[in-house]
Amino acid sequence: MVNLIKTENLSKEFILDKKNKITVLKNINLEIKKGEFISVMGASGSGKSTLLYSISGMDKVSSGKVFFENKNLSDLNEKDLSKIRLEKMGFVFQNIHLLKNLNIMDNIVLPAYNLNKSPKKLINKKAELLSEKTGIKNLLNNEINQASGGQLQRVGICRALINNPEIIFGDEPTGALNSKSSEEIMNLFTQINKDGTTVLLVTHDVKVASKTDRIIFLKDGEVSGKLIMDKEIKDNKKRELFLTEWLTKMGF
Amino acid sequence: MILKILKKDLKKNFVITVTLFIFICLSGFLAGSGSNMIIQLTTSIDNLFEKSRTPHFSHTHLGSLTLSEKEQIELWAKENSLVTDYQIVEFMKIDNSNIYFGESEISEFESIMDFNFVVQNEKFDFLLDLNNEKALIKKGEIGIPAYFLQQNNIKVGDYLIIKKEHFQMRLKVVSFVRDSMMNPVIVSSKRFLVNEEDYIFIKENINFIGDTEHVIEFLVNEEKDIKVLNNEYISSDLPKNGIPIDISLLKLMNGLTEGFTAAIIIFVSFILIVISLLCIRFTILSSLEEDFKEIGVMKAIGIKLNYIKKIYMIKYIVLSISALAFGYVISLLTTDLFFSNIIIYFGKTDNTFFTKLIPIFLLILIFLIVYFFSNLIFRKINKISSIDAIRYVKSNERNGKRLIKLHNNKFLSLNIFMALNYILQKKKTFILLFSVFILCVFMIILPVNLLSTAKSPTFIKYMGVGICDLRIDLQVSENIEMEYHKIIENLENDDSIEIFSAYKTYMLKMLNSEGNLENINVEVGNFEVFPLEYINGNSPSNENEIALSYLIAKDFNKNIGEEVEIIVDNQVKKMMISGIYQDITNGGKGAKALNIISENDKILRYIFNVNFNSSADKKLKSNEYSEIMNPGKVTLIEDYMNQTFDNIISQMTFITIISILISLSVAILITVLFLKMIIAKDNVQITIMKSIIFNYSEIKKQYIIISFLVLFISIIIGTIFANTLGLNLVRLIMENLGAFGFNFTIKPFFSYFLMPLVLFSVVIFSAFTALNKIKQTSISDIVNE
Repeated sequence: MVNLIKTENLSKEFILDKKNKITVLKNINLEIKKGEFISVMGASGSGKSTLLYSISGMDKVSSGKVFFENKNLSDLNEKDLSKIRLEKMGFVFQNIHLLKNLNIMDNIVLPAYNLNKSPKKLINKKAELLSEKTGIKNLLNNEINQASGGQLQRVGICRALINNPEIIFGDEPTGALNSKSSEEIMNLFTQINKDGTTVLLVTHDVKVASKTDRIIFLKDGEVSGKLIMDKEIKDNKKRELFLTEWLTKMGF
Repeated sequence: MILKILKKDLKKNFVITVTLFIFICLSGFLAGSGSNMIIQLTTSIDNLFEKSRTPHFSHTHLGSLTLSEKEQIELWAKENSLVTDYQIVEFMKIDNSNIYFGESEISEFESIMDFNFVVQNEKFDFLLDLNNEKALIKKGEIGIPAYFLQQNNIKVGDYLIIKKEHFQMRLKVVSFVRDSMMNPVIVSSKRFLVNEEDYIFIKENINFIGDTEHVIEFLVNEEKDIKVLNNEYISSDLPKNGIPIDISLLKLMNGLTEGFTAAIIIFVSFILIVISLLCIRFTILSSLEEDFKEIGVMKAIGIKLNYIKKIYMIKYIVLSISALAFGYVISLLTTDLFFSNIIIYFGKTDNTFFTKLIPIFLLILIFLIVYFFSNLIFRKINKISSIDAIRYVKSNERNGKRLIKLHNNKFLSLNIFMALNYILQKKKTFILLFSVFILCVFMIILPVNLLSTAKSPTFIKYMGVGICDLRIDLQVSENIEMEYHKIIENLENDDSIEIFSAYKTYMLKMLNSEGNLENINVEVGNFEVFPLEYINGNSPSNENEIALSYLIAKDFNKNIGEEVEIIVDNQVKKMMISGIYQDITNGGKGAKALNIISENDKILRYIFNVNFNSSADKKLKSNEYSEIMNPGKVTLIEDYMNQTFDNIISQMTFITIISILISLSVAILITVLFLKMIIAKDNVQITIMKSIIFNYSEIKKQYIIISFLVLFISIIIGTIFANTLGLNLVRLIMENLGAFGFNFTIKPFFSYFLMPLVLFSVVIFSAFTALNKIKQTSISDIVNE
């Protein structure tokens, strides 16, 4: 499998004030291949989200390199980075972060309209297809305050998929949802991955992580462990158990 | 702890706090300056009038007074119980072309002022020096009107020289004098004070132009007697070949220019207060929205509502007090700037303790307005439910009907759509920006249109004269008939003239609506040649018709087709009103007739209107005529208007420039304030958009387009307001001056292109400055907060 993302000694620091700084990520070396279904786990403050934003080009790294499709993201300017994110990446956030000034349909189509690679009719058609796939077709003309949390998260997923990205990043995508909605969202991610899109999720939820194929464990800003889930284990409960045992060994 | 809160808030919202500070400070500064100006003006005028012993009532009389007439006046005054004292003041008018300042080779022939020479009165109506003491002038000396202190063409120590044929006299300027009757710049008669010996010498030796003029002056017991005395004098047979003047009119004229400026300053201060209140409302509502959750939590854990309000209010209390205090201090330090004209014309008076308090009371009033208004807005805290706030749910949010949808949009580019959609979805938020922009546009377009109109050649239609190329004014003199015929002969023999017409002005009596006879200037001639614009009707077409000025028609309660009675050669002549015209000169009162011939009635002047052929060089002809038509005063019509309204136009130009500068400053400040606020509010949304959809440049474009769209709509609305509401306001004022149905003469290039372009430029530039913070927020700062 081809490397989609590769990091070399990635480090990220935050400057608190003139004298103090905090190192959140230390010398991270990672490879994410196309088609993978990965989760990044760790305790609160371990640097999971920071890692996600660093490898997606949203945040500038303090040192080290990040390659996306063999392009060094540090060499690119803000405009080019923005274009890559728009064209090649999709994002799903815990708080969803839809635009309040647009309705549900407009939130979904906005990234595609901005990319402007397809005619609007085709984009609209695609949005309808995605919404049907995710079970929210009847909500397309609604405002965002006329939908539940689970439904809005599905809107977020449609938005993330509208430009056929190479990779979907999810930052605690089920964090604000109840168990039923979480289950449904994870099933969607699984299906997306089966359709060929690389998926990387940041989570502290064992149930969520157990559905992925590879787990990266972060501790104090460093990669503390990597686990490849046994493909033979199909039962969800058994997968959760398998993961839990490993995490216990990791000290989580 | 409160200091800590204030420091933190200032650091977080520095630009916004400074902007609010500037608005409140400016309004305090202007309120302080404007009120100080009014107090100083009224006390200075009162002081001048007291020291001068200004006559309560006076009546001018053009021409000489016989001994018997003087005795008549004396008897009448003695027998009138209302009169405490009287005097007859003689003016000797010397033609401008005979007056030279200093060593200048060029006479004062271009000056629009009439140079009248007088001696110091003995009983009252004194001319005062710059210490407000009775001016004492010795032989060989002269006191010149304070007006010339501003003209910078003569100073104390220079000489004023009278030259006429072989006569020459040098008088040393020893003082500038303040004249309670003729101080104002809008009064063209000015009194030059000479010693009695010099006065007699000049009178005996110089063949001066024009008759002497007299003013019969009275003092009364009580000011309420003035109107009665006025009516009694007009009804009497005493000499009154002129106009009546009472002390209230003198006060009004003296206070008009500076009073108008002070009124404008206070008006602008008021506008700034309104803008400040709008900004405060906006910032408070934004703070409440930002701190929605925190307020809910505070309420939930039992912190009292009043305490929560106090924490927020303290900022606005401290801000208002400090800004107003600062503004007041600046107003005290800049008094000279506002008082310079007052000091020249009236002298400075020390204000009493009470009058010094008035500006402070005004500032306290402003503070109270700000305080209670802020308090009112903060009542919204009551409506924040603790539970909703903790859950971060804003209750009762309603969606309005969505007017535009992205997936249905076919015509607008994405950035324009996002900008327009933003405005439509947040209409209430934009009330502030729209209101202030509309006000700014109004404050630019109205004075610009007014100034364009005043400077336009077509403004002449409000002056009761027809449009022509050149005008010759011939004032009455001993040889007036000879000079009149000389001018006519020159004009008839000049091939470069296409057409000309001559008009003579009589002082006649007309019966007013109360049955009293009133002196009216009646201009006689053919008004078809250089037609006026009439509000109603037409020029008089036969000798039994007369046209009246708007104010005369209004005062006399007459309309076209009705009759008026005038006295010609002591005979009553009934004339039918053929038309009503506009005239803001001469107090707005006059009449025009085709053909009145009088043997005995006083001719005041002749006027000749001239139109040249297209090939003639008007400037050259004007210079040529100035030589050969002497003593007639020759003026090109543009110069005539400029000179007549020179000071008013200068004042208007100054006010227009100030108004434009203030409006542009306000536009800059409000753009920066507003954008900073909404960017702070939209921080999360902007960061998300920047992270996953748009780049920095595209987001910046959207906010620039938002500013552009709001300004564009505001310019349209503001211009409409200026040309409707503003025009109606101006019309109201102009009607009282004698111009009915006033309209703007707009210069489209200035009003509809240049001014909007300047406004767009400063707003877009300000928007760019305000938008730099977008780049700074990183996704890590906001996601999963």
